[in-house]
Amino acid sequence: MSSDLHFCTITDLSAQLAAKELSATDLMSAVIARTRAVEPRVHAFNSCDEANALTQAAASDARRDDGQSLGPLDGIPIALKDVIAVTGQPLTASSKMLEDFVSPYDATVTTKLKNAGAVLWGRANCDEFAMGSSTENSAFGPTGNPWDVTRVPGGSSGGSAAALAAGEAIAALGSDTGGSIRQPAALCGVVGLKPTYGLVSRYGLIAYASSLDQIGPFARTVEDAAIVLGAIAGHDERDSTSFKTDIPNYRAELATRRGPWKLGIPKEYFAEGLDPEIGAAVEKAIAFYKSQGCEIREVSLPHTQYCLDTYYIIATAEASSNLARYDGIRYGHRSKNAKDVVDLYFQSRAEGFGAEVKRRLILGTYVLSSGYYDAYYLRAQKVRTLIRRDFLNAYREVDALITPTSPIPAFKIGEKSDPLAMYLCDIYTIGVNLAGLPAISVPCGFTKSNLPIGVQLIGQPFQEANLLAIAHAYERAHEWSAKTPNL
Amino acid sequence: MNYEAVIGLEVHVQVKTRSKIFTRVATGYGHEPNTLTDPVVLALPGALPVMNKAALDAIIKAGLLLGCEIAPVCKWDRKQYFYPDSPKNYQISQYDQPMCLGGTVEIELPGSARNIMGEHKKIPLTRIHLEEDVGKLNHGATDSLVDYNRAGTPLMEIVSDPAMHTAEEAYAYLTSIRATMIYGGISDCDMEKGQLRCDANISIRPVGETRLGTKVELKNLNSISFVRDGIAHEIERQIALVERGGTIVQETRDYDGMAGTSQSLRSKEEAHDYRYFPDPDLMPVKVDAAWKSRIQAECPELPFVKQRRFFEQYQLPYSLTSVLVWDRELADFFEEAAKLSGKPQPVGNWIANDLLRELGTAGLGLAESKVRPANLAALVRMVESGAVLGHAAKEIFVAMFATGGDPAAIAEQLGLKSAPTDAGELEQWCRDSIAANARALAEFKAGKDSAINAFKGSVMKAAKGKVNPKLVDETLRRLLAAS
Amino acid sequence: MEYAKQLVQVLGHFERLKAVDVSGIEPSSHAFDVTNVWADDVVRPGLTVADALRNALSQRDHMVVVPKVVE
Repeated sequence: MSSDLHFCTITDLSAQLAAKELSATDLMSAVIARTRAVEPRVHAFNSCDEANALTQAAASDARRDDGQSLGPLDGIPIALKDVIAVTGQPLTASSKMLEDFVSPYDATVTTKLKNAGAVLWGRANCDEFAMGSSTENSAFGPTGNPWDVTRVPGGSSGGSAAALAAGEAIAALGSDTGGSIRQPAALCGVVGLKPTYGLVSRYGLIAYASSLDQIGPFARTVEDAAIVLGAIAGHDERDSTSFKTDIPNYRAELATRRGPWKLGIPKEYFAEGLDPEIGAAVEKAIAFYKSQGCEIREVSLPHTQYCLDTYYIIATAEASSNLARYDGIRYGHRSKNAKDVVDLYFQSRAEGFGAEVKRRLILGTYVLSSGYYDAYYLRAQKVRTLIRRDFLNAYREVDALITPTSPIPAFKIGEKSDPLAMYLCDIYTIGVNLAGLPAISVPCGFTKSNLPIGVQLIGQPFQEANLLAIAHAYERAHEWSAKTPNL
Repeated sequence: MNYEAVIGLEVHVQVKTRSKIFTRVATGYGHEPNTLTDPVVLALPGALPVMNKAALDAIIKAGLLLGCEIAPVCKWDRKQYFYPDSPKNYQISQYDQPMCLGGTVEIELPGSARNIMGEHKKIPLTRIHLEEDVGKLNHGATDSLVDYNRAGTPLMEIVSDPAMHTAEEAYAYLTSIRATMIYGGISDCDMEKGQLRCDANISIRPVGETRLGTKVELKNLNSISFVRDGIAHEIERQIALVERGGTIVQETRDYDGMAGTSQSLRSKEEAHDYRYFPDPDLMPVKVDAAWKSRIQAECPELPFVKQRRFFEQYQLPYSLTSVLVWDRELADFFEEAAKLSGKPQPVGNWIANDLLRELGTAGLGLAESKVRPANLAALVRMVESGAVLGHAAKEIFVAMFATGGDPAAIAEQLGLKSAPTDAGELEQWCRDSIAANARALAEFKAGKDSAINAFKGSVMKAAKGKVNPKLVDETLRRLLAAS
Repeated sequence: MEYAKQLVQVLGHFERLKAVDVSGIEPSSHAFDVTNVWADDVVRPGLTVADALRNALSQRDHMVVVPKVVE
């Protein structure tokens, strides 16, 4: 592990902070210095409020001096994807539509991180309204992958992943609707966890597709991810889809759950289109588990081939409705050229939204139209039931599934202009969202061109403790997360 | 040709809850603009809805009161359209799985005279569902201003079958729904505050025809009398149009109650596609037997049922029940006083005549009345026993209304008590009277019974009015018979 | 035109779902089946007028201005 503060883990830093070998202010200053140094090349953030972060860090130091430390996250700089509301801070969703929007309220995860003493730092860039797999669909310009800034960091939470990989934050939050945490985590060489739908409150998360969206952590290690998840998980009365379940001490559980586990290999996930280097790296990870006494079994998720269409129908339908509120009236971009109120909607939205958002709004509006609803939306909801059933059937035999996270490593900025080709980046991650399952991407190697590779572990509903322990077992025996990019 | 009108009503009722239907900021009317908002009401990025349990209880109660079938499972749908009063540009509503199905609204049509009961009918309902109200637009000369205070207030939509045929029926229907909602504590139904709103679908057809004619939707029927007048006007307009050889077009018309005219707002040619779909932010509602029976236990007896019971139990005339049963507190007041006095009919008369008149004059509500069931019952008992006389009782009542208190004490204080106790004195007055009216005595003896009134007059005069007339009558007859 | 072509292409891709036998399958609107999620009718403070209108570009008399709406 690097000796640079900005590349340290929460685990290390919280120990140093607790021992008063380090102050939160010094840590924050180091992260600010690093950000200033690399941000022109990475562009991980849409905005960062240095003065505000230093004030938070000073407050953390004051608490610690008073013996009132709030735990392992107290004083740790955490970046938030720019779709999560923080009172008094910009909230743009990387859209011109919300370029000047300042949130008058906190998301529930924001409140929870504040209560844990975390220093909220930087609004991370992303695809506009979280729609995309490369962070190129940001109205404020793309983010560079810290391992090769001419390449994308993945998306939609590319800024969060890149900020962490580049040492501009110690952990980050993203949101995952079809792979938007796991895929950029894989492409940037960090850990990314998408929790079970309902484990983390969505209140204050700008909605893309409500029945699929879930907030989750990016971290350098599985243990760090467990710490952040512990801080943000839990039932929230402001989110009707939040689930009432006991939250274990995920970090402590890592030590108690030792396996061996039964792991399933869904054969449909190793079909054509998978990059051979990624295939080989994932095979090695599978071999590792086998060597540790885990039983490896091939399983079938027969509806996998329908995930992509099911996902894009449901996600665009929900998005077309969720984004109707951006009309330039109460907030957001308001066209100066409108003749009347109907024109105001039309012009404001035409000027405020980017091409991919518009594409998805058109698709979503179409699939919900009377006459097409049954053929597209209703049918997709039924296929969704079948997809979820596939996973639950597999879980009768195995504890978790192991697959590649992304079929390809980080690609060049501007390389993929065809939307369908871009949509195929999510091929291994979207089934998880349709089934509402937890899944984690863990670094498992590098390509010959030194681009990170991630392996995905998919767990059973609300069994994050198990999932993290399985991932942790792999991570403990490998050094991938110790590698840092040369920036 | 003779035409028959077919009328269906869509009635919106604001449910009386403290907080909004999908968030916990307060509801209210008449507040400063945009003081009742939060991220959910304003549809800020990231805000999410959470159902209000009280609104669900209220619609189940409405459904049970109107005999609807309560759906075992219902869900929430998004009705999508862009309009500046709708912050999300979709309204959370219930599309194909409403909370209540079927049911009826009992109505009474006007009788041939005020004190004669009219015909009763049961108007079938299609459905009742719950949704959220929108904000309010204030139209200026060059622009419009939006106030979101009303947005998110729980709103029930009660849809009738196209089963009414006259403006009177529609009027009676709305009156009955209003009474039911107020009785159930579901809504105050103040039309001026927009708590009760009504749109009517009206068509005509030749008498005997069973198919429905082209319907016209009439909007802005914003008082109960406008509902009657507007519908009557629309029926006349349609008949006149058809009789002139014209054709009814499907359209929405705006009724101007002050002018008594209507004008076309838009034709329904381009029917809107609302792209309804289930709201992924809200979970479905399951209503089990226990929930229903808990609400059932809170359901009050409705006015018409109460009226039939008052006929049976108290033998009250229609003229009294029709005054007493429409206000739940008044009916309860009556029943308590009737029970305490054992004299329902005089109690009913006192309430319907004296109490309501005094309250009306003073501009007070029943809750503020100093006449309470207990002192009213006491007054009625005093009159019945002859302890006070009719006109004295009226004076006591006025004093009781002004200051409250016990009627016996007031009678004492005002010297209004009749004094029948001294039988000797009464007998002496009677003897004196008979002795002084030889002519009346002769007439009486000759069989003219009314001649007794001449004696009564002078006895009352001697007694200064403070004797029980019944006792005077008895005493006089005894003495006359003996003389 | 490229844009329209892409849309048609994606919609064409969606047609693949027609191959799935969905007879007797319930649609999923949510990731899991939970019912009756609600809150008690208790009032919580909302936003101040200033916060409510802080992001409204056009406002007057504590209200949001829109072009004149004629119903």
